[in-house]
Amino acid sequence: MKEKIKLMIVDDSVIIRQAIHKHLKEFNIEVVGNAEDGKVALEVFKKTRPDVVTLDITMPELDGLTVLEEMLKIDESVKVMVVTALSDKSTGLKAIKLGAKSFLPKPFTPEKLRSSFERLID
Amino acid sequence: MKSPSNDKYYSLFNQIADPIFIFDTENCRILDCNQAVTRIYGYKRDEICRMTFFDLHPASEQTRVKKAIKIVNKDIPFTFTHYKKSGVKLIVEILSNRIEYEGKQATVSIVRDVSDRVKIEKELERRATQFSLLYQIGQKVSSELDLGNLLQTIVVNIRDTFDYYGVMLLSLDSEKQTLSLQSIAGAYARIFPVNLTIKVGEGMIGQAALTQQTQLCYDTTLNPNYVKKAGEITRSELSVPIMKGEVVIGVLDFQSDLVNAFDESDVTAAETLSSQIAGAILNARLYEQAQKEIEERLKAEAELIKSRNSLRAAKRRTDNILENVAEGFFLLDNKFRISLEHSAALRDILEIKEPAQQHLPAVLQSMSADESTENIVDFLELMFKPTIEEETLTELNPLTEINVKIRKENELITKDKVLSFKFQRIFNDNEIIGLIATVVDISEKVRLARKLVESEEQAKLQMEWFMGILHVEPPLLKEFIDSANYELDQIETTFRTDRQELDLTEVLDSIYRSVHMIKGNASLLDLKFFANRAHAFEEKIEEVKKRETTSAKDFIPLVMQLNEMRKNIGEITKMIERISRIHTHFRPKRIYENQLLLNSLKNLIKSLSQDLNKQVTFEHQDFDPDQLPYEYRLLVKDLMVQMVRNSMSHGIESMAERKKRKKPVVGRIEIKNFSENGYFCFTYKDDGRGLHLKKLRETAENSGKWDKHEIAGWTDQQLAELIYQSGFSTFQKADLTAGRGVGMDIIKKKISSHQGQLMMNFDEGKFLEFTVKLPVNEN
Repeated sequence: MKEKIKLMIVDDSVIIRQAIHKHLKEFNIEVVGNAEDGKVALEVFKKTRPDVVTLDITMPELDGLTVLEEMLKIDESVKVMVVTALSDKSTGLKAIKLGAKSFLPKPFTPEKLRSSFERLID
Repeated sequence: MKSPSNDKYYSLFNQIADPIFIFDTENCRILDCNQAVTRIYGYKRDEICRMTFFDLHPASEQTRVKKAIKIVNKDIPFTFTHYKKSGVKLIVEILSNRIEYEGKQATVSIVRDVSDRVKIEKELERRATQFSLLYQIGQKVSSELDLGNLLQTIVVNIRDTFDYYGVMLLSLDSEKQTLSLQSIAGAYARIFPVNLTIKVGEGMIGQAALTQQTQLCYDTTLNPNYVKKAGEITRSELSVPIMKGEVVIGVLDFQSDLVNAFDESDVTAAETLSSQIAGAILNARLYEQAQKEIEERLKAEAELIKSRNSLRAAKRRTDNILENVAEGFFLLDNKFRISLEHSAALRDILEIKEPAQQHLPAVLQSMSADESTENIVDFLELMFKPTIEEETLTELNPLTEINVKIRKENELITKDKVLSFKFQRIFNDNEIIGLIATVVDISEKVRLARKLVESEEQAKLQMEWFMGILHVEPPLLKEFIDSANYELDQIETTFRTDRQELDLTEVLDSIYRSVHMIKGNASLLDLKFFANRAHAFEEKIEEVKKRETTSAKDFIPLVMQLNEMRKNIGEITKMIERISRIHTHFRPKRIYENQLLLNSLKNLIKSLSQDLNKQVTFEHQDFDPDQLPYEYRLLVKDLMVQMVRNSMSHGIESMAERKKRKKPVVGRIEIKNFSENGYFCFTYKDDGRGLHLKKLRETAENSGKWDKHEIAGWTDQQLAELIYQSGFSTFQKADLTAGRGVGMDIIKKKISSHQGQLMMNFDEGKFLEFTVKLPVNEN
């Protein structure tokens, strides 16, 4: 069996975090970290070194784009899926430009999440 | 010979190089000649002087000579043939003149031996002919480009032109050192095998190839090189190598059946031919090669044309598509420039005359697009990065719905448009070389979507009203609507009244009172919408009231408020109507079935009337099919059908009988319904003959079922009820027309099985009426 994909979920909403975890269970994942704000996210990231991060852009403390930049500085191979409101394409584009590998617009369906995640880890 | 005049003349006469004859004109006897004659002709002078001039000529020329002697030709020589003493033929030109010689008429003829000259001339002529022929052959040969045909053309032409006995052309295989026959013409064509080969060095031909020198054999019997082939009668032969530069490529060979058939001129001609042939062969080979090349080239060209055509067709198709699609369709290069290839629709959508080569973000910026150029450029840049997933980017396309303002040339007003762009990557060897972009004008779609949202909001509002209305008791709601309409009418009347006659403050107060009334009622019934609406109306009135001076203009907003309220009341009335319609529509099946009941009864009466030649009206105004409980619809239908059948067949008399009995000719069937203590009731009545009691009594007596005395004690009602007896009507078929028994037993049973009641009322000769009561199940 292949090694589990280490996943970290960053979102200020516990509902979203749980939803992401629940809907990605079918993949060979292990949630190594959760974070509800940018500051915590970076700390957890340094400790756990996940393979994949789902990252909410609009968060308290440290904004998502900065977090993304910092994460990539620490580990440029990390695959970051940016989760943000569909209307905020500008932020999405900035995130992709910075090096995020995927973009998931909110609100999302479980299918959408899974297919985006599948492409990301592919 | 003695000179009669002087020696000087005679010595001259003798020194002249050309022979001179003097002969008697009359008999042609030679009188004298000079020394040249003896030297050239070989005759001695005295021999000559015993001869006539004719003796010098062949016999064939005698006539011509005689003629010639008669005329003097001192300027133009005649050509004749003379024979020397040795018999050698001389070609001579003779000039003549008359002289007197020793008192006789004599002719002096100066003869010039032209044999050599003629010979040379003939040779020259032959050569000229040869060359002209060679030229002709050359022409033919060089125009014949197929090598096989060429060689045959050469030999046939040479043979025909020079009248050689045989001509052969052989080619040299330098590896095998053999010469093989390529073409042959003349006598040996049938003798020599087609695959004739000669070794280099063998015979005349082999020698020619080996030495690269022309081989001439005047007499084959004397030439050691000559090799005789079977059937050959060659006496002389000429073999000429065909050279291509320094290399022998073949041999041209001429044979003759005569000794000494070939001379130097033949050699020259043959060598000329040979070089021409070499050239021709070369040409032919080049031609062959060229031919192949041309063929290949043609093939290639055909392919090219084909592919060009298909390319062209593809382009045409593309152009066609690009001309006709409604979408703006274009390619975007990595500088984000619009390609030359784009659909015609693009011009209309962007309203740009020439979009090609324009920078898309700049174009959008010029249209004041509601998306930052930075975002657009970011997005397009990412689209060109193969490492970033296209699907993710599609999600981030900022141009899926972009508002632009389009300003046409020389126009100040701008037009708002909503455009939607889609992009797709074009790959070439894993490299993104461009984007296929489509743009559609979605203004209308967006407009409709907004309209939809608006109408959804409207629907939501109506839903709120609806919910508000639902919780109000219907009578109260009706009262509210009626009172609101009344108050609104009051306000309208006030508005319509000539204001000159009224104090404006009073008018406003009166309106205010009406509106306040509506507001109060609405609040009481918790119709918030109306309460709010009325409140807004009140405020408008307050505003007008506060003004120091009021004019008609100030009433406009009030009139508008009034109209709005009217509209709302109208809407709520419509909604109530709609709700009641919904209410009825929720029982569509029943209504349908019940209508069907009346229709089928009508049809039944109509068809039986025709069959039985009776006229019957069907009265059903007092029968409401909607009140017929659903569970009884089939039963009631069955009962009524049976009753109608009975009425039509037996109850209602024929028109004639009715007339006789002074009844209306047109019969009548009437149904009514009513409800009574939890029963659905209906009556069925016809104005026929009713029951024939006497007949019933007789039938009962004849049946043998009952005692005569018993029957005698029966009341009319009891008699009548006989029709419910099972089999009563059937075992007495003769009485069927008089009795009313058809199926009545069944009817009675059916009603009983539903715990219903069946009652009968009749007046003999006047009517028969059934009343059916069916219990209604409250559940």
